[in-house]
Amino acid sequence: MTAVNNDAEFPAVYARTPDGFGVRLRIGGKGQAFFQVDTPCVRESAVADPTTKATAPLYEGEFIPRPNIHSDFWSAEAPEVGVTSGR
Amino acid sequence: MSGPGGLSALGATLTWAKLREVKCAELEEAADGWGRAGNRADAARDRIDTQLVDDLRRTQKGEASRAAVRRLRRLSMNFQYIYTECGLLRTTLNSLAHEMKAQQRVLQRALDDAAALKFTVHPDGSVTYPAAGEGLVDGKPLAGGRASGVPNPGLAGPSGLVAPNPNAAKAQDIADRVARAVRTAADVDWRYAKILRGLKAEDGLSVPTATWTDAAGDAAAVRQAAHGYLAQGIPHDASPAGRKAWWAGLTDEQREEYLAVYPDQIGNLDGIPALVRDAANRDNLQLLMGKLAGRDDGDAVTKLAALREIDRQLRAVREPGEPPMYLLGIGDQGNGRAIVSYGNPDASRNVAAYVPGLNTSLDEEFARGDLKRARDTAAAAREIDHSTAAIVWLGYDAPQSPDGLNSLAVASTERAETGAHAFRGFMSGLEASNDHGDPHMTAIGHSYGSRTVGAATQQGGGIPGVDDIVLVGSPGLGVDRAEDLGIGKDHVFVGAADNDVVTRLPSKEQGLLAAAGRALGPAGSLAVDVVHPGDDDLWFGKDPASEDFGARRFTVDPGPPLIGLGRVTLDAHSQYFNPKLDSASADSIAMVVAGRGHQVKQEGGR
Repeated sequence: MTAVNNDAEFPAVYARTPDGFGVRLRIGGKGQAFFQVDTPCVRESAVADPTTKATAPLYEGEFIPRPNIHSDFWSAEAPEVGVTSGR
Repeated sequence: MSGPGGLSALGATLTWAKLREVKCAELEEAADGWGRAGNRADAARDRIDTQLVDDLRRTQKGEASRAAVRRLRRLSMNFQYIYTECGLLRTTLNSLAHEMKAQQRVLQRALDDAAALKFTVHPDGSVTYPAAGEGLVDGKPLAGGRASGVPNPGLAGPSGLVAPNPNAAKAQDIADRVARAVRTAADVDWRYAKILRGLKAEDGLSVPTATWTDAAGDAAAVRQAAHGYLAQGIPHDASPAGRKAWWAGLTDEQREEYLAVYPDQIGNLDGIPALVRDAANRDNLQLLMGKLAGRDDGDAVTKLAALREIDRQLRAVREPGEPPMYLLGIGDQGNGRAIVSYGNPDASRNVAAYVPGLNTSLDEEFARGDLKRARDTAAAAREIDHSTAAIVWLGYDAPQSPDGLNSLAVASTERAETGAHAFRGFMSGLEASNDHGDPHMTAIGHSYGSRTVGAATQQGGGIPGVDDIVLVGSPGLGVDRAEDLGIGKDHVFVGAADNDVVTRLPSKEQGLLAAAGRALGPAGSLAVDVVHPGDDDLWFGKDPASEDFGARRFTVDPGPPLIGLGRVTLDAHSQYFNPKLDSASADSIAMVVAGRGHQVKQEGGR
């Protein structure tokens, strides 16, 4: 574990192995989560587009919307401290 | 492209009668026509670049679609070239009309004066005057006569035998003015005929580099000719707010002409809206690439590679969610200039500008690495707040050190001071052109760039509009305490990797340097023998990562050691912005940029 930010609104954890494998989890604006995994690649290579059909809306343009879908099961009813409800 | 040759026959046989009849309005109408043609070409290019190519790439795969994209690219380049040349033709014609009208006015005033005095102006330009005055002997009026004009009166001195008829001198003056107007108009005609003849395209559909080299020459010729007509209007001495108001007050036609002829000046003018600067600089980029392709010296080759890489990125199709690119400045002077924004800096609530440092110049490494730092910063900051733009600002000549850190030892603060002045102008322009009342602005200095940012805080009232400052890989910034930066010490953020030797130059941690010195002694690439016994003192003053400096220090990966795996590496100096190698540091910078500096995870000073 290389760094932890325990901020209430934008918490984040960063971990890295000595040979360069890394994981990063960070909560951004309006509760959007960002997860990143790094491998110490020998060479940069583009990731191919998925070949299966998407089951959720695909977003175009400059700004991908923040979480904006309500689920009766998953969505919190009351906004948490420091987090604005996306509803 | 060939221009209308209507006037080209004028030069040899121009008379005042012909000059009076020249229909300048027709020239201006022709100019408008070229302007409309240019606008259509520009719109067509835009449609190809932003719609057809993008759609094709997104929806089609395979060799056929790649071939189609190549063809469309060529078509787009054709339209771009048509737009550039039409713009030059338009301004050439307008400038010609402008200069011709001036001579017509000189002529008309002379003719009016002649009419008022009842003199006759003959077709050859000579002027007859009636008898007047009194003879010295008999008191009778002195006989009239005829005066011939001299285009260059200064060369024909008075003979001393001038007839005392008071009309003679007046007639001579009128004849001279007529002759001068005709002569000047003939010169103007000759000059513009030459320029218009030069505005010609090669045959064929391709727009090779040579054509852009030629277009760059065309632009230079038109700029020179149109100096009196257009360039004097550009308010270089005004404040950024004044320049913004100037631009807002221009007609569409005027704006189009400035963009067509002076994209180099409009594109780099602080205070002008970002979208306008971007459009101007994209056009100027083509001309600059053409100009540099016409040279084969090392400097031109280096800069051309950088410009081509920037051009490639500007044309690349963006994935959904990627911040768009804006070219806010470009130039080939000095070590080269380039200012690139990721995200629209006028529309964004948060705007950050990153000043690169030691060894940065307009080369391919800059075009890839430094641009990526701004792009990564924008992307990470947008995770926090969408309304964010991050800029890489190469608006000054950073010190170069081909021999490693040795040059840092002799690097003076002069470049930082000069760069600081330019940086303040740029930030002031951003503040003026931003749509929000009080945008949140951040200045980021890396390496020697932190010295430049430090210098900027000490000039005038500090850096205009800046709320937060981030310093990474700093060799010191010429200021001893965070509170002296003028924005409150809680708004100064510092990242210093343990293994970044630049942040230790020469600090009290002499072990590292001594080790480096032993390892590198023979190679002589590091000036590690310059360690002096200062406490937290770096080259340019107090170590900003020290407790005494009083800034907020954020967590940074130590980075690879100076001597590891049997080789010397300065990589620890270069990964502060890198989301792969040091995502904690990159995220902290991004949080400050997004206006959430107070939520950055802090650690103690060293």
